[in-house]
Amino acid sequence: MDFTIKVGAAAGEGAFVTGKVLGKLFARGGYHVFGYPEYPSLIRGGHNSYQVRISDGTIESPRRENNIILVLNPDAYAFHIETLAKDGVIIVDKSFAPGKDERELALPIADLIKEAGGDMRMKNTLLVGVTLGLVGYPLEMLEQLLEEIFGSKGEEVVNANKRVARAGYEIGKDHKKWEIVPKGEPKYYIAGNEAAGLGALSAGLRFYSGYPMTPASSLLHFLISKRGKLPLAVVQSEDEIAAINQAIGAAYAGVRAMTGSSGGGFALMTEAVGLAALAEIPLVVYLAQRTGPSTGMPTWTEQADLFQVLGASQGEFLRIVLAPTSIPENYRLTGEALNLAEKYQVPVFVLVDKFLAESNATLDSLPPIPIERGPIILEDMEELPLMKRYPRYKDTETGVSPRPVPGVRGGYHIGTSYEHREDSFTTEDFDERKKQVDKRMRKLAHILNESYPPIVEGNGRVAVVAWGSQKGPVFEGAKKYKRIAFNWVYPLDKEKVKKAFEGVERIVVFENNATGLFSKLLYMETGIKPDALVLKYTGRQFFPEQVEHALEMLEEKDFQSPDPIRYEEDFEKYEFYAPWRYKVK
Amino acid sequence: MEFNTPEKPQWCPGCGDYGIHTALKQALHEVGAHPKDTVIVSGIGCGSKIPNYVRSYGLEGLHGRVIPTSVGIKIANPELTVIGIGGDGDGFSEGGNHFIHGARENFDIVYIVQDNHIYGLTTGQASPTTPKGMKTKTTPDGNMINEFRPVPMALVAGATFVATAFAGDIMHLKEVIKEAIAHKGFAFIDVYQPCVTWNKLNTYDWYRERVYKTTHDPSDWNQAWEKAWEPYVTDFEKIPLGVIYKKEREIADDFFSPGRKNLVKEPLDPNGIDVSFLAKEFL
Ligand code: SF4
Repeated sequence: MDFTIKVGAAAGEGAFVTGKVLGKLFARGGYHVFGYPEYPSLIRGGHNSYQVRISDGTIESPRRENNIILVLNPDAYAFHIETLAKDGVIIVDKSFAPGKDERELALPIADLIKEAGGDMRMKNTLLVGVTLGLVGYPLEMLEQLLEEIFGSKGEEVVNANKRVARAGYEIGKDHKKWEIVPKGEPKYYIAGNEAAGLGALSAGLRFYSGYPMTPASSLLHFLISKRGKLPLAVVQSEDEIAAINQAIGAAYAGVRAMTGSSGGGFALMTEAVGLAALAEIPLVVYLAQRTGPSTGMPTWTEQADLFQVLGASQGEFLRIVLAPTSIPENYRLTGEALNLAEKYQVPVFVLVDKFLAESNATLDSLPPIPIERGPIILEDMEELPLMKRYPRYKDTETGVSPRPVPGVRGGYHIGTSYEHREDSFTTEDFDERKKQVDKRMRKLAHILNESYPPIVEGNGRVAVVAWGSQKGPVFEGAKKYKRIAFNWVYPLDKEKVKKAFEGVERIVVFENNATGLFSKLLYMETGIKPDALVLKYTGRQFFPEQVEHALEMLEEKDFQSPDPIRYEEDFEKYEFYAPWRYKVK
Repeated sequence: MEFNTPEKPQWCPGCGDYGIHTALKQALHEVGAHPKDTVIVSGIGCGSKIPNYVRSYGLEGLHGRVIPTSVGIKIANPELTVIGIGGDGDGFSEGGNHFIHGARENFDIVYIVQDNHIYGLTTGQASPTTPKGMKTKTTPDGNMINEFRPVPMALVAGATFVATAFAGDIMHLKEVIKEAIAHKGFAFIDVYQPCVTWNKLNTYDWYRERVYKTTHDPSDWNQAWEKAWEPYVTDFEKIPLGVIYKKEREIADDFFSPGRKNLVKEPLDPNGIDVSFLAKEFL
């Protein structure tokens, strides 16, 4: 089963709420659901849409075709009608229904609501009712959810919503076309950023600091909403520079700390990444990319900040870059990032993008993430003799040195942005300097040892490659081929990567950017060179249908293309509506 | 003394930072602070080397970022005595935003500025507090720009403890630091620090002719405001030293960290934390 419902509305008309309600209802019925919002960088005006995709099995991508479309204004009709399946239904208000398409289900929305004793704010409730009726999904589940949503507003509001829902449901039932019934245990329906927040909390996050920036802000909101429910401080900082330095301070003090932003905010944080690296203070940076450079297109997606992260801050130092490839993985890897940071005392990046951060997906459960803190010292030690410091930066076999935190007797030392001796005192002694660089770099072998091998599915002579968030659409569109995805992006273990590519003769890499950044990195680190690159940098992620199409095109060339395949006109037939082709009234 | 280090600071002979260093260690000793519970946080500059010379915990971070780094440490572990210390270029130029918001939000830290009215470590450029008319490497014909006024600024921004002190009067400075440590909230001390190498105007003698210990009521905003402006309205003829303003109010730490626990001491289950109780809204 693979079923899609799309809600389209003017900004502020409730497309997201409606979509999320639908997503949650099907997740409660045990389905896998993928929820995908789109919106312009405006608070009012402009067009918002939300696609709910429902399936029996795991899904990690939206698709183009919709079975049901709910439109709340005439623009929405124009934008989305092209994506309606041949046997689909578009639910539309009679007042603006063109009446030319037999797939239209035109309803006198205002009259229906009035008859049911509701008010126009309940338009979305009515449409959800109609939708459930069309697929025969139990009305009681919607009624239950309405009680939860509106319970605090009093019985009358709940009852009015229920009446309106029922009125819609009856109409839908009269036109019933599909049969979708609950089939299993409820699943969590969670957005990417929320999954990251939960994963971090599961792994013991105690301090988060951030400054609002789309698409990372919802992580800040989510964590603030959990303050007071467990030991957790969340600071809305005066700017991103403050945010990262606060997180570094908290991490130095001995708690698991993270900061987050998008590329622009991270640009401001850059200098402090080097401080964390030199002072060996465990730091996690959650970076949700959007379309750049500069302000770019704030509410759209891209994978173009990879080299920004790899090159952030002056000097040479180790860092780890993770790029979760799905929302459940965002839960796990954001938690794991905190482990890696403390085990190796290096900066760790969780590199996501708007597509992953703001889409929703289902998770069966939230398994606790085991906590490994590395050589942290939290218990008092023997008192140090006067005039002595603790050898915080001791040259060890693994390069990682025991780390007492303030409050611990006998661990006196400073964290410092200057090169330092083993006892942390500033130095410009060449031998000491070299010793400390070697010590820090020695961690690499251990980090590589622990690095995740690429995710491999299927086999064959052609490998289709994605990194981070694009795994979902690319794997779905490349089912015929061997599929390889990278969630551990840097540093790359040559042997593990080579093993993933064993038996492969052609490599096609799909990237959501204009210059194939990951392909360059892959070549730099492993010598593996793609035979073809497919690049999309319009502001949207790939669609599975586009991936399929691009691979068909490449098949004719035996998957070899000296020039990258870029998003062209012929990609557009696999797109959702193209907002740039329409004028919003 | 427990805060002494084997290495001696290497400031220019006669630098005001020596006095600040002595006063700080003495103040910590006298309030009974233990090295294990003390964190000296600095930025970058001559005076910012100070964590190297205090045997306690410390974080010598980035230029301008003393306040946020201190804030992160203090929120994570409120049981610590966190002293942020840095220069005027560090705090008022590079870190100006943090100074304003640190005072406004009233974080529970001590913030000492070694205010020598010049960039010392980078060899003598004009700083935000460089007096008008002074010749420096970046103002060869004399500074034409109005100076930054830290004390009125701190008051306007909402600091709950604002004091001035003079690096040449260690006993007084020490007492002011002790009072700042005892204060709950953002405690700012602007310490007039002669830089014998680059600032030939604001010398020890120059200060001694002008400073005096103020005896006004620091809980009275109007009197505090008058004292804050006195150096500027008297063309630096009269420079009050001491606590200019002091009044406690709610601290941001309580807001950002409800219950204000020592988050370092809260146990962490090695098996991970079951967060399903936080995810009910998603079911
Ligand atoms: S340059 Fe000035 S501030 Fe720096 S150590 Fe010398 S006297 Fe002190």
